[in-house]
Amino acid sequence: MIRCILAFLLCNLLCLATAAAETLSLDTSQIEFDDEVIPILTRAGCNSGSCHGAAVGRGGFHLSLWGSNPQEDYTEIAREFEGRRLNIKQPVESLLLKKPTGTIDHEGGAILDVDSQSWKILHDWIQQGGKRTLAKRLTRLEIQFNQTSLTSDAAIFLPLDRSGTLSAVAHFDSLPAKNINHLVAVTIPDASGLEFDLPSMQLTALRPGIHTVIVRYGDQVHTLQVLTPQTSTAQTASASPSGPQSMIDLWLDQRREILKQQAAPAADDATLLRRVMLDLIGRAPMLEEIDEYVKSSDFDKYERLIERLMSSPEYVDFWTYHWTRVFGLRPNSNAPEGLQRFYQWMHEQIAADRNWDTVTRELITASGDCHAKSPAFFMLLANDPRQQAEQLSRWFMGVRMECANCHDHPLDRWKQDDYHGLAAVFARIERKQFVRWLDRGAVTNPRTGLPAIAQLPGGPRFSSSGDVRSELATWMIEHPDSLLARATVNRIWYHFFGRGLVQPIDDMRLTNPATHPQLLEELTESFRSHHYDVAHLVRQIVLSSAYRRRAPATATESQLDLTYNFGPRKIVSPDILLDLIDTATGSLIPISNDESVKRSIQLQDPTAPSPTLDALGRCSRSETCQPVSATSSLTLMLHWINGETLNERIQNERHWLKLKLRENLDPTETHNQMYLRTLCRYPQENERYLFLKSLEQLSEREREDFWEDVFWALLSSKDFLENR
Amino acid sequence: MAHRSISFPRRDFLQIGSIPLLGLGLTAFGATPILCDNQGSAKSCILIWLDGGPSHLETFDPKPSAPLEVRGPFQSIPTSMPGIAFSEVMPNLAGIADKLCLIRSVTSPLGEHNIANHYLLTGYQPSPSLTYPSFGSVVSHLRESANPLPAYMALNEFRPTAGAGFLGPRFDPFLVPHNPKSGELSPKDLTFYPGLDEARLIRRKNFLEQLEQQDRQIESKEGSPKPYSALEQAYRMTLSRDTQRAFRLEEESPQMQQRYGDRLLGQCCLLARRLVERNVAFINIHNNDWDTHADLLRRLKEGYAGAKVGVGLVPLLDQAVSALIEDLESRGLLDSTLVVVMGEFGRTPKINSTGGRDHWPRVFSVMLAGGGVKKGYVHGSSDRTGESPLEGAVTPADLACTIYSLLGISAETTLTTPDGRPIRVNQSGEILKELLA
Repeated sequence: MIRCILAFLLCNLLCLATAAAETLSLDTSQIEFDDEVIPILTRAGCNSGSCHGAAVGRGGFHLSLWGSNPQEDYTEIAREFEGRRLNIKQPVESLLLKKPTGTIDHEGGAILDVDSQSWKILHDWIQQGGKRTLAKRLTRLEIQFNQTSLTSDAAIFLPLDRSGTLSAVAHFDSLPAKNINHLVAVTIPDASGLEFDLPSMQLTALRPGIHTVIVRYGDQVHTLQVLTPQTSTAQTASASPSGPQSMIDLWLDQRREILKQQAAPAADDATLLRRVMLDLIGRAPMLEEIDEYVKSSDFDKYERLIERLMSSPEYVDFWTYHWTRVFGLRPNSNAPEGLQRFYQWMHEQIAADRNWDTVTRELITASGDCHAKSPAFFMLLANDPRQQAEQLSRWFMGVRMECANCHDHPLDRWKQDDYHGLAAVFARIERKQFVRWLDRGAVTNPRTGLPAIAQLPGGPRFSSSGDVRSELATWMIEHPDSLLARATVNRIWYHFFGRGLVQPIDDMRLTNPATHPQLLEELTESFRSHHYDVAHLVRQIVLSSAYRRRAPATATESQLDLTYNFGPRKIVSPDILLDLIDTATGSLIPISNDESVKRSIQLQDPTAPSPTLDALGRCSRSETCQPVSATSSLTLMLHWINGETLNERIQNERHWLKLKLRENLDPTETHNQMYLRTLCRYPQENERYLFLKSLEQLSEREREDFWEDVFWALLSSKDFLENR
Repeated sequence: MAHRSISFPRRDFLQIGSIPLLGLGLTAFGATPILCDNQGSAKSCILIWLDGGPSHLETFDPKPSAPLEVRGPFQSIPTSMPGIAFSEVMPNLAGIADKLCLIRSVTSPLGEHNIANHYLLTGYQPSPSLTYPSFGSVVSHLRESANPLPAYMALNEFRPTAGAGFLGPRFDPFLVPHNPKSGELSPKDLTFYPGLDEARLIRRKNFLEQLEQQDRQIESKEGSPKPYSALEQAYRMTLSRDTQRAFRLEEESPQMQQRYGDRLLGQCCLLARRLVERNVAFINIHNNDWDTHADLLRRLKEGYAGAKVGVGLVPLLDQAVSALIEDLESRGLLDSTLVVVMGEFGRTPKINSTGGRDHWPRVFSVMLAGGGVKKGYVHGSSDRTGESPLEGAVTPADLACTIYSLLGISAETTLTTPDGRPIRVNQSGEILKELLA
C-alpha cells in the first residue's frame, strides 16, 4: 500500500520534473536538435548524397539525406556507436566535433572551423546535454532579397554591376520569427552564372541570363530565380515578327524585356515550311510544296498550312510514331501480336483526336486481351511493377520517381514510401497476353522489409488490395498541381522547341523550376480547361511568333538561349533521317520486308530488321530514346563517308540524280532542284557561280562524279541533317 | 537482388556497337579539362577480357594437393617463378612467368555476370542511378590526341559495361568487328566505297566545308571551342595509309602469325600489338565462352572431344598472351604497355555434377604484365582449396585504382555526370604499391 503511494508520488514528481524540463526547453538559449543541429549538418554538407547521406552512409556513420529524418539522425548521433559520438562532460572530445574539424582523421576533410558559429552551435548543444525535444515547429520559411520578402513565384532582378543580399527568416508555431541566415543551406546549381558568399549572404551575377538559387532549411526548400539583363546597349526587344501577340509571346517577351535581350527575326518561308512539316508530319516538303508556299502571297498562308497538315493522314502516322516511341513500344514474346494491336489502337485514338486525359486513363487502367485492339499491351511495356511505376511517373507526371527507390528523393518531396507505394499499385498485374489483376503479388518496401502498401504519391494509402489504378489516374488528372496536364504541356513544348519549359522534361521538381513559370501555369490551365485537347495546344505553339523565329546559327547561340530569342534547332531522329535521305535521293530501296511500309516512321516494330536504320543509330527502345549528337560516333561517320547508306542512294542508276542527268537538262536547273531537294532553298548566286565554273572545266566523264560529290556534301550538311 | 532490376540487357545480348544520330555539334556533358598528362609508366593498355569468369584453378592458381573434386582434371606444372605453379594447359605462360605479375587474391561479393563485369570493368559496383564508365572510356575522355586511330578500341565485341556509361556514347570504344566469313578483323567502312578515291573524298570534304563556312566564321568570332568532330577523325582514318595498314595482319611474317596462332584471340592480340605501335591508348579484347558450368576438359583444354592437340580456351589463351608479351618485349614496348588478363570472377572450387564449375567471386586471379608492374611477382594467395583469399585480399576497386595509376590517372580526378554530379575516377580503391616496379 505504502509502496503504491510512493510509486504514485514518484510518478507525479517525474511528471512535474518533465513538465519543468519542457518549460526549460522553450528557453530560447536552449539549442534544438531539429531546428539547429540538423540544419548545421545540412549546411556543412554532412548529410549530402556523396557523404553521410548516402544510402549506406560513410565510414559507418549514416545520416538521413538532407536531414529528412531527424528522429533517425538523433538515434545515430546520440545513441549509436555506444554513445561515443557525443561527450557530454567534455564536448570538445565528441566525435561529432573532432571529425568535421579535422582534429581526427576525417575523409571528408576539415569542414568546420573550431569556434566558428556552426561549431559553437554543435558544441553548445552537446554541452546542454545533447537532447532532442520537439519544442518548435517550422511553419514557413521566408526568403528576403534586399530586405523585401519574396513571394513564391517572384523572380529576383539582379543586374551585373550590383549585388544583393539574401536573408532567411523562419516562422514558427507560437514563437516570434527568427532570422536564420546562419542555419540555411544554399546551393547554386550553375556557379558560372551566379556567385554567392555564404557568410555575408551576398549574391552577385556573373553573366546575363536566368539563374537559380536553392535555399533549404528543415523540410522546406525555396527555389529562387534570378534575372540578369544584358548590359550592352539597352535595346528593347524587337517586335514580334507577325500577327497579334499570342499568350505565349506575351510571357516570353515580358521576360526578354526584363533581361534586355533581343529576339531574332522570323525565319524565311522555306525554312519555316520545312520546320513545321518535320514537326507536324515528320517529313520535308516536296518541290511543289516549297514553290507553292513560298510564292503564295496570301496573308494567312501559314495558318492554312497548319490546318492542312494537321488534318492529313500523315499527321496521325507521325504522332502515333511519336507516342509509341515515347512509350518505348517494342515486342514482347508474351503477346506476339500485342505490338501491332496497340499501335493500331493508338493510331485510332490520335486519328479521333481524343482528349488526352481520357487516353491516359485508358492506358493506366488497361487490361484484357493484348491481341484485341486495345491498350492492354501498354502494361507489358514494363517488366515489373517498379519499372512500370517509374515509366508512368516520367511520362504522365514528369517526375523521376526512381530517385526515391533507395532513399527519400533528395531534391523533391517524394519519399521512399511514395515510390514503393506507387509500384505496389502495379504489383498484381499479370503481364501476359491477357492482362489482368491477380490475387497475389507484392513489392517489398526496403525501408520496412514488408510488402509495400499501395498509395498515391504524397497521398493517402489504399485500404483495399484491389486494382486501384483508376484512382491513380484520377489523382494524376485532378491533382491541384495538374500533374498530367503540366507534364503533357511540357513534353509537347519540348517536341516543338527542343527544350522543355522545365528541362529535363521528366524531371519536374521544386528545385528545377521552369524558365517561364507563369507561362507554364497558363498553358497548363488552358490545356485543362480545353479538356486536354492536344490539337489545341499544338496550334497555340506553332502559331506563336516564338516558334517562327530564325534558328540559332551556332552552338553558343543555342546553348545560352533560355529565353527563346531564337526559333528551335533540333536533332532529327534516325527514322526521320532515313526518310529525308530516301526522299531527297529518290531512293527505291525498301525500308523493310513489309511492302506496306513506305516511310520508316510507319515501322511499328523497332526491332524489325533494317541494317540501314541500325547503321543510322536507331533506338531499340529498351531504354529512353535520347537524341544524341553526331560528334560521338566515329563508326557512323565512317559509314557516312565510305559506307553504303548514302553512297548507294546517290549513285544508283534508278534513283533521282542519275535519272535527272540522263534528261540532259540545263545544269542550272538540275543544280536548283538538287538544292531544293536537300536544303529546301535555291542556291545562292556565288554557290551557283562556283559550281558552274567548276563543272565546265571537267570532261564529260568527270562531270558525273562531280555531281555525286556535290550531292553528297548537301546531304551531309547541317541544314539537311538538322531540323532548323 | 532485393531491389529493382538494373536495366542491363540480358546476358546473351551483346552490344556490338551503338551508333547514335547525326545532329548538333554541341560538346557533350562533362567536358572536363584534360588532366592526364600521362605521368604513368603505361602509355597503352591491352585488356584481354575473359567473358564468363575464367576458372582460377585451371589457369593461374591450381591446387595440386587438394582432393580430386577440387583440383580438377588437370595437373599443374612448375613455372619460371620458383615455387609457383600454373595449370598444365598453360605451358607457354608458365615459361615466361618471370615476366608476369599475378594477383591470386582478388575478391568480390558479386557473382552474377552483368553486375560482376561492371565491377571489374569500371572499379565501381553497379548502381541504379548511374552507369559508370569503363577504363578505356575514361582514358579516351581524359586524353586528347591527334592520332587518326581512336583512343579506345574494342576488338571482336564488347560488353555494354565496357562502354562509356554516363560519359556518353562519344567515349564508347570504337568497335573492330570480326567477320566470320572472311576471317577479317577490321573496322567497317574503312576503305573507299567502290568508285570513290582519295581525290573525291577530299573534294567532298571541301564542298561540305564551304557549305558550313558561314557557321564556322561565326563560331570562330565567338571564340567558341570547336567541338571534336567524329567526321574529321573519320576522314583522318580513311585517308591515313598507315591506319589502313594497321589492320592488315597479313603484313606480318608467317612466323609471327603462327606464333600468335590463327584463331580469333591470337589475331586480336596481334592486332593489338600493331595498334600499340600506333599509340592507341586502350584496347579491349573480348574473349568469349569462359562460363564453364560444364565439361571443363573439353572446353578448357581439348576444344573438341578427342582432340590430340588442345585447342580449348586455355591453350589458345596461353598461346596468344605469351606471344603478345614476348613480342612486346622484343620490340621494347613491354615497359610502356600494360597487359591485363581477367574475367568477372573465378569458379567454384568443387567440381559440379556436369563436370564443370559454377560462379565463384570470393577469390580469383588476375594477370598483369608490363606497363610498370613488377616482373615475376605474385601478390596474395588463396587458401588450400582456392576458396577464399588467404592473404593480400584485393578488391576490384583496388585493381582499378592501380590500373588507373599505371596509366597516369589519379583516383581523385573528377568526372561530371550529365546532371552535374562530380564522380571520382575511383572511389573506394587503393593503389597496390606492392605491384609497382
